[in-house]
Amino acid sequence: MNWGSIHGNFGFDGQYYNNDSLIGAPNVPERFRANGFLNLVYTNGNFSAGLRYEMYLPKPLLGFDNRFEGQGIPFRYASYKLGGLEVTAGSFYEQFGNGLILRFYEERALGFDNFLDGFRAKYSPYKGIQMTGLIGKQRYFWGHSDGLVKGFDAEINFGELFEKLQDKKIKLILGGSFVSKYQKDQEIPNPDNPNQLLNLPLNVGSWAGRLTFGIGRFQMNSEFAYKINDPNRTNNFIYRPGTAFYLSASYAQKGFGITVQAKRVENFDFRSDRNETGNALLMNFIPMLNKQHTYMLAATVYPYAVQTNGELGLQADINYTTPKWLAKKYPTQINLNFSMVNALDTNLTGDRYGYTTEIFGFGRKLYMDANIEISQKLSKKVKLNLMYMYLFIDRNLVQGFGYTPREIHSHIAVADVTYKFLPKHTLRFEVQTLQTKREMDHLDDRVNGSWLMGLIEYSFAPNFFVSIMDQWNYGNPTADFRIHYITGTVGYNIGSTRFSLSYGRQREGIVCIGGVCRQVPASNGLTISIMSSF
Amino acid sequence: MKLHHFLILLFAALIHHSCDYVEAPYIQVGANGCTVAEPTFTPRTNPVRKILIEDFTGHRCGNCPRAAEKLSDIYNNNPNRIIPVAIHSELSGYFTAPLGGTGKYSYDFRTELGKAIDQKFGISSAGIPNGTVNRKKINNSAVISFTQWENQVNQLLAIPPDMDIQIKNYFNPSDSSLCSYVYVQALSNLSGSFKVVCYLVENDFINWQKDYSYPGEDIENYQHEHILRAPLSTTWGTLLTDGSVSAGQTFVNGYSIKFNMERWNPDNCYVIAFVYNENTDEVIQAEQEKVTN
Repeated sequence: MNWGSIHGNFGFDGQYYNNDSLIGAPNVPERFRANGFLNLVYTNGNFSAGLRYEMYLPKPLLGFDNRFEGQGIPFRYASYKLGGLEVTAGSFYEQFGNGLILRFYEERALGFDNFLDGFRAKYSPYKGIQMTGLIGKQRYFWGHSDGLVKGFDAEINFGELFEKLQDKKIKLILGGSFVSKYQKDQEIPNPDNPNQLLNLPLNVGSWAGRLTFGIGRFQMNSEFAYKINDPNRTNNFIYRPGTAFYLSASYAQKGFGITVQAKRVENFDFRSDRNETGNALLMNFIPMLNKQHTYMLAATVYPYAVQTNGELGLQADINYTTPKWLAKKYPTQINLNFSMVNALDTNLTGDRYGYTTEIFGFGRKLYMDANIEISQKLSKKVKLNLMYMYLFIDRNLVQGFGYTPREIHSHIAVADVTYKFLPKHTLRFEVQTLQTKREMDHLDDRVNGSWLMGLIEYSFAPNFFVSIMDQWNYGNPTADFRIHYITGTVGYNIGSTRFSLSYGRQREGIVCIGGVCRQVPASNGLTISIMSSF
Repeated sequence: MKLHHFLILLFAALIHHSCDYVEAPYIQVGANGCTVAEPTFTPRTNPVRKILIEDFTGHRCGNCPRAAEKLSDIYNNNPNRIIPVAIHSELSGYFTAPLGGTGKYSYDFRTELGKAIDQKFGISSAGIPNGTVNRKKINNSAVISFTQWENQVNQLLAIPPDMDIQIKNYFNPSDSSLCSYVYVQALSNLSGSFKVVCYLVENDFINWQKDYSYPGEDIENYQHEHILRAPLSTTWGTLLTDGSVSAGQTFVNGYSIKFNMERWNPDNCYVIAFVYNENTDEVIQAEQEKVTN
């Protein structure tokens, strides 16, 4: 008899907090807080079932929503496949197309989890045709959303349907989806006149169509989405319909690749509750068209948060590797990247409709990033990575602090040297700087003016690593805020389990993953982290 | 029926039942809105131009009764031609701030609406008493001293009207709701974006008023007139046309409000409406109508 198999993973992050008023760390009376989870999945042939235990005790780690406090099993499901039909009951994640009208996903580092609890059926009548229908309520911390979500998606992959296309190296995928939310009526006063109540739509529908086309080395992917009147707190209860457009085109050959992307988003914050803000109960995802930086100062000092209610964005990315005939011993890899995001230029109508705008109504500049990264192996033992980046951000607009401009122009440079002095033994050094003007009218801000950052890391492959890092806001106009944020980390891997310990200061800031962000307060203390899978 | 036919039908049904399109003005009709259907309006035979005068005043502003007297004179000298509004703005600070307790000057005349208008036209920063006449700007400022109101009114009254406004009010005493329909008729071809605005004002309200020319300076039974109470439309109104309007075009907008019966007496209230050019802010026509008959 086949008893099936169980696999899963677990993670634990705990932190001891020290008081540190200098960096602005909030006082944590419990001293210790921890987040933990365990996923279990049982599979037996066509049947699978799973659950996830989560714990946030005595309260969630600083920077995570306090409404997660507690422990329980929020996520559980069972699923069965029968021919072309797959049925899931319980909790599940899903994405239609690029996610413009529907994406349920989890981003643990953000404390983001918006899975749907309900019922889903996927059906494939022929190879190359896939249909998905779903209904349910979204996770809302330890409960469920007030609103109900219904969705349907169909996709035809012509390459799989007609084998001749595959022979010609042609890829063609067409897809369409429809998503609707229902939420019961509420008394919401007209923001312009509190004596009047708004006439709310209870059912808000949206649809999207998408096309992926590829021939040879060229490929493109585009999607357009439309949402009917959806007055909600994030758009200040206006009735204008929303639209979102996304386009990505790329070309690749040996040693060279280029990707160009564009998007236009208008009034497209889509949630299953009209009153929610922040990251709660989001139903869709607007892709970020900016490079996901990995170097500390580039990624975390002035990150970009996607403006779901209005932005126009462009990105171009070029990868180039010097060819062999240059007769260099080691090729040089170059990455050029440029991205820019503008707000929409709108004309207010003065009533609840909201505003009017043009298709290419470029409004104020929100963000711009122009960067070059060069990677060069110098010898068998030494590898060098260099990066320069120009970054512009309007902090007030991007972080939603109003329309007064707060424009930051900054230059970031990074040098990263890896030195493998013995087999398995590697030393890595990073030096980074961010140069920008002091903001004299924001003297209370602990992220202000220029930064220096240094890192030394030693690793003994594949088990052990130790590193020490310092971020120094030496250019802060307030002398007390020229703080060294020093953190030391030790990590050890055994099989698929990784332990790490780090001690030091973490500065206040915003953590963003894919343009979705959360505010993180400063902290000082010891962090223990365990990740494992089985 | 094949399975995929069934699925297509199911999908069509899902789409059909999952969109609630809401029409302008997006405000609830019912308990707190208009339960009265839109009435029919008949164009008037001899429309005339009417003038909006906004008097920014304060109950502790001892010179303000002089402006109120001037406004009253202009109103009486031009019967049915003047639409007056008295605005007690929070931005006038001391002059309009209520004193604590229940004694004299404890009443609060101020409204968010009045503050918003003040903020836009900068009256309080010019000092009160001051006001606007049709919000018309002279040297880029709409602020006009009350001593100049009459002169300005006479110039404007001489111009033939470009629009006509009619108001029909339906007050329901059982739930103290008011529904007002505002009819706007263009009389000539005009270019610009035009908006219609609808506010509630109250007359004959007895309360304290500072008056420097009154013995003892504090009048207990002062008759406050034309007090701005609340917006029926939004502060800046409903867009009628974006770009231009031609003679003969008509527009009807309905507004509703729930009466604050502890503060407002419906028998003393008026609904005022006016149309202005969004590009210049200038009011081109105004009208008022009693709430109850």
